[in-house]
Formats: sequence, C-alpha cells, structure tokens
Amino acid sequence: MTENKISRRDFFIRCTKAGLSTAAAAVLAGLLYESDPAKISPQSSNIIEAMNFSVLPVAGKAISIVTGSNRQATVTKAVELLGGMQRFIKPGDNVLLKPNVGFSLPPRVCATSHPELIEQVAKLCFQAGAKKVFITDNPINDPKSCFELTQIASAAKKCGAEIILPRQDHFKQVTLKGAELIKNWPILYEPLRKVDKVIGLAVVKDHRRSIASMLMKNWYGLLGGNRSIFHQDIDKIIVELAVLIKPTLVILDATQIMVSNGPTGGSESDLKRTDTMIASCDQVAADSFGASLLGLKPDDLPYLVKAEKLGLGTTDYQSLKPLYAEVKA
Amino acid sequence: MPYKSSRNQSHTIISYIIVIALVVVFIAILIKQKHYYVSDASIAEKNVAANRPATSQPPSWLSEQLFGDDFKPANNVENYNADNLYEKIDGKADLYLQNGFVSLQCKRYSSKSSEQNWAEVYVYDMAKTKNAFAVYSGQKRTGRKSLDWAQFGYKTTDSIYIAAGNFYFEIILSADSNELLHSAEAGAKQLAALASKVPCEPFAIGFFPQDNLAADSYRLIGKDAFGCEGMDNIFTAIYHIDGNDLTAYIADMNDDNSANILFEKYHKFLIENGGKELANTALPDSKAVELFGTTDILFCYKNYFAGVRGSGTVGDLTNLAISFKNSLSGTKNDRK
Repeated sequence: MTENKISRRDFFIRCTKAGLSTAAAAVLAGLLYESDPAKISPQSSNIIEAMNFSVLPVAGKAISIVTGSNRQATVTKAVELLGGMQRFIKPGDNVLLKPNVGFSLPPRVCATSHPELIEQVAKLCFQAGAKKVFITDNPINDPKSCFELTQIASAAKKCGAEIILPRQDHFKQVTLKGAELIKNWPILYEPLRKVDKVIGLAVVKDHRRSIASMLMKNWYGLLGGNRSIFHQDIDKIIVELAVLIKPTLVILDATQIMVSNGPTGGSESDLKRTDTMIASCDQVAADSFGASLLGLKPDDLPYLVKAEKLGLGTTDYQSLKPLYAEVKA
Repeated sequence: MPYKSSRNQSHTIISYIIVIALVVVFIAILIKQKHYYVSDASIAEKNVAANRPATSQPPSWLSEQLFGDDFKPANNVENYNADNLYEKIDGKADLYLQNGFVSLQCKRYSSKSSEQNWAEVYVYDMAKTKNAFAVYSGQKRTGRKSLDWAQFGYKTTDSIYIAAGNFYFEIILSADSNELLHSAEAGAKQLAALASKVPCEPFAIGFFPQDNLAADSYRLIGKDAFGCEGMDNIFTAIYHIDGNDLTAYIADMNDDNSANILFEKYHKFLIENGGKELANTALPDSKAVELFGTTDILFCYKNYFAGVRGSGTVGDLTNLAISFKNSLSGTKNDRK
C-alpha cells in the first residue's frame, strides 16, 4: 500500500498540472467560441458563372405545345415532338427533376406540380436510359409533408425515382458571377452537382408578388436561407436564377391553371382548365406562352423582359415556330 | 508488485473504454450534424413563434375534437407571425401583412377511415374586424355558396372561408367530398362561435340596413372607389329595390373632420366631372348629385362618410339613404 502514497510536493505538482490543463482548455474554448450564429455558417463561397445542363439546339425543335386533358399523354407527345427524351437524356445519365413542391396541398388544387406528370417524365427518362432520376425542391412548408401531401413522394416510389429532401449539407454558399442578389447565398447545390441533366417542371399560377409563377420562378425553390428577403426584388432574383440554371428541358403544365388567389389557391374554384402542355428548351419562351394563358403579355412580367435582354431566351415564342399537336382523350 | 501491475492493467482498460466511448460520441455528433434536417430550423422558429403572444387569440382554436370523432389531428399546430408568414403561404403573405396580420395557426385533421381525406384549418388573427373582412373580400372564389349561418362566409365544393370578428378562417379540403365538407362546416361553426367571444371594435358593415339587402353583396373597395382618387377603403352593399340595384357605401374615418373632408372631396369629384346638383333630398345635411344617369346621395354621420348610389328613382335612393342614416344614428356601438 506504500506505493499509493504520494508526497506533498508531488500532490501540488499534479494539482498545478491539472489546473493548468483545465485553464488552457477553457481559454482555447473561449477563443474558439463564436457567439454570432450567422458567422458559423460556411464562409467559403463558390463563384460560378452558370450551371449549364442544356443540350445542343436542334433547328425547329425548341418548343412544343400540345393540347389535351391527360397530362401523361400530352407530356409524352410534347417531348416526342422535340425529338423524344433520348435527345435530352443519354444512357447512364443521372437526371434531376425540379418540380414545384412548394406547399403541403393536395394535387387537385394545382398549387404544386402534378404527381402524374412527374411520374410520366421520370418514366420517359428511364426509358431513354437514365441511370437514376432524382426529384428535389426546397419547399416553403415542411419538405417531408409537402412531398407526401402533394403525392409526389408516392409517384416517385411508383416509378423508381428518388426524392432528395433538402438537408443542410445539400446547400452550398454560391456567388453567381455578376449577380447582385445571389452573392454568398445558400443554394440547393448537392442535388445539382451529382446529376448530368436537369428538367424543370412547373405549373401556371397567378402570383401576388411576381404576377405569375411559372418555370423561371420555379427555380426559387433552389434557394436556401431566408429567401423571403428577395421578395422585395422578385424580378431580379428570378432572372438571376435563370442565369444560374440552364436546364436541359423545361415542361410547363397548363392542364389546369391557377387564375386567382395564387400562389397557394386552395380551391378548385381558383382554377381554369386550359388543357395544354408545353415542352421547351427555352424557358423564357415557354413562360411567355404560359403568360398568355393568364391573359398577360410578356411586357406585363418584368422578369421575362429582363431575361430576354440578357439573351436567356425569347419572349416571342412564335418566332421559334412552336410544334403543335392535340391528344384526344 | 503483481498487485500494482494488475491495477495498472485495469486502469489501461478503463482508459481505452473511455477513449472509445468519446470517439463513439464524437462520431455520433458528426453523423447527426451531417444529417441535420434543414426544416428543423424553421420548425424551431415556428415553436418560438408559438410562444409569442397573439393580440387576442385564445389558446384553444384548434382543438383535437374540432372535426368530431371521425377525425384525428394529423400534425401539431403550426404557428406563424408576420416575420415568417411567408413560409406558409409564400407570395400571398403580402395581402395579409398589408391588412394588419398578427398571427396564423394551422392544423391538419385526417379522417380515421381514410387518411387521404384531410382538412387543413387556417386561423388568421387580423387584429380588427375590418382587416379580417378585407382579406376575406379580397379573395372570393367563383362558384361559391353563401353560408346561411355566417354573416361573412361561403363554401366551394372543396373549401370554406369565413370572416368572423377579428379573425379570418380558411378550411382547405383534400378531396371534393360531401362528407368532408359537412364535417368541415361543423368545425367552421365552432370557430365562428369562438371568434364571436373575442371582443372587437364596431365594424362599419354592421350599419348597412338589412331590408332589401342582396345576399353576399358586401365588398371592400381598397382604392379609388367609384373612380375618385383617394377614396379608399370603402365598404359597399347592394340593395334590390323596384327592379334596380342600388349601392350603399360607407367609410370609417378616424374622426368627424376626416369624414367631412372625404364628403367634400367626393362631392367635388362628382361636380367636376359634369355632375348636376339635385334639389335637396328629404335627408337633412346630405347632397345629391346626378352624373351620367347615376345618382349619389352622400352624407356624414360623426366619423362615418356614407352614401347611396344607383340609377333608381331619387325617391328610392332617398328612402335607402334615410334608412342607412337611421341605422348609423340609432345604433349605440359607434365609437363616440
């Protein structure tokens, strides 16, 4: 038992060492502590020009407009008129579908992309040889309930597509070169990083702030952070997002459009049946056509005019010589 | 010495166990951080918002039993304030924020027999009756059917909308189902009854006479009513009298002087646009002007500017104006 005894001197030395260690740890923790949570967010920002997923243009095949009430039939025809999904998707491609999943509302009120449409587009991608099809959005409401209540989660399950629910590590601070608003701002980057192709899918809606919400506005769902601050400059952020993302293909679902009380609506009374599906490589042109269904001209939507000036597309969709077809029920 | 060796060995083992445990905890924290669910932040914010006091909102709007025994709550109550309303209704938030919005409570109820059948209830605290009416009248749906038990309320095949007291209620249904609509209407009645218990200030619409009043005809004209610049926030109601539609209107001004200023402004507007002053009507302190076949009889009562207009006979318009002014003066709930 004598081995256990320590001298008074040893005791003080050990106590001093322990005390110094504790004090050093506390000082270090104090130096490392950041009281402002905003400063804890990633500081490194990727400066990028654009994320280009587009394919080579084919003369006379830039936009198709198909009428009919069956979404699955009309979208199939619309894509076929542009050369078929194999023009856009190559075997082995990973594809990201970016629908509007903004609200936890049922599909019947058309505030979000319709699950039947998403299912069909995913199927077309798989038929063209896609290796994987992902679906993502950063909804206004709780993401999980949005994907479930809009029935997009079940549609994805049926066709083998994978839902990517936004997580913090999916966002990356991004600065778009030349942008005034997208500066060191969190973008839902990870799903975009791991795919070869991106397809935007949107509905046609009245929107109290941006007048109309369609394909270009739909990229708003890639923004993270407190994005509501951009509502003060909604046209500019819509245009910057269109600069940021150059999609492979866009599909505008105007089977039923929300003509009032947008963007949430809430009742079928807010809808008008227009039985039209638009597929395009030019989202400015597709939105310009969509605006006409809401009784608007491109000039009524400042973001369309600005986008055209930046060369992102044309508001004169007729100049692209749209390919028309009708799918009978 | 063997004793010491054995003791050192056991210390070493314990040390390893502690180190391994710390490594496990460290890895667990890393994994948890990596899979941090982004919406958790907004959920946390919603919970913070839930603890913020609303102006006049009782705590039990969205009870478990709101939709009866056949329904169960499908989520917890969500709470929003002016800072985060956008998170629930996006661009439509502006309409509410411009009209005095205080808070929103939401909850979803699903049918016990089929979870596909659900209803989501929105309770907007708008602080004042006129604010609640403003958002109600600003987004009326086509194909609506008035609720005969509510002063301001209607339903469509898949939703219900009510303004009651300081509150505006919406019930959104997942399906076009009579059963669902019936249950939702019962819930809406409960909400309206609760709203009626919350004290609220007098509301100009309450002064419109009830005789010959067309159902569901109340409106709020937010800006430049009848083409007159600056004539804002005018409540109107339609009356069917002798085959003509006559419009009664009223503005709740801050004080008597403001009401008189608006009175003079509108009178001047009518005259400057070619209106013809008519001989004084049987209503004291009123003015009557005929312009392009439409006659206006306008008057003030305390802080209210009011009038009637239409292409009916001057006699009918005068009678309606007298009835309207009597309603204003006879009531005891004006603010003076």
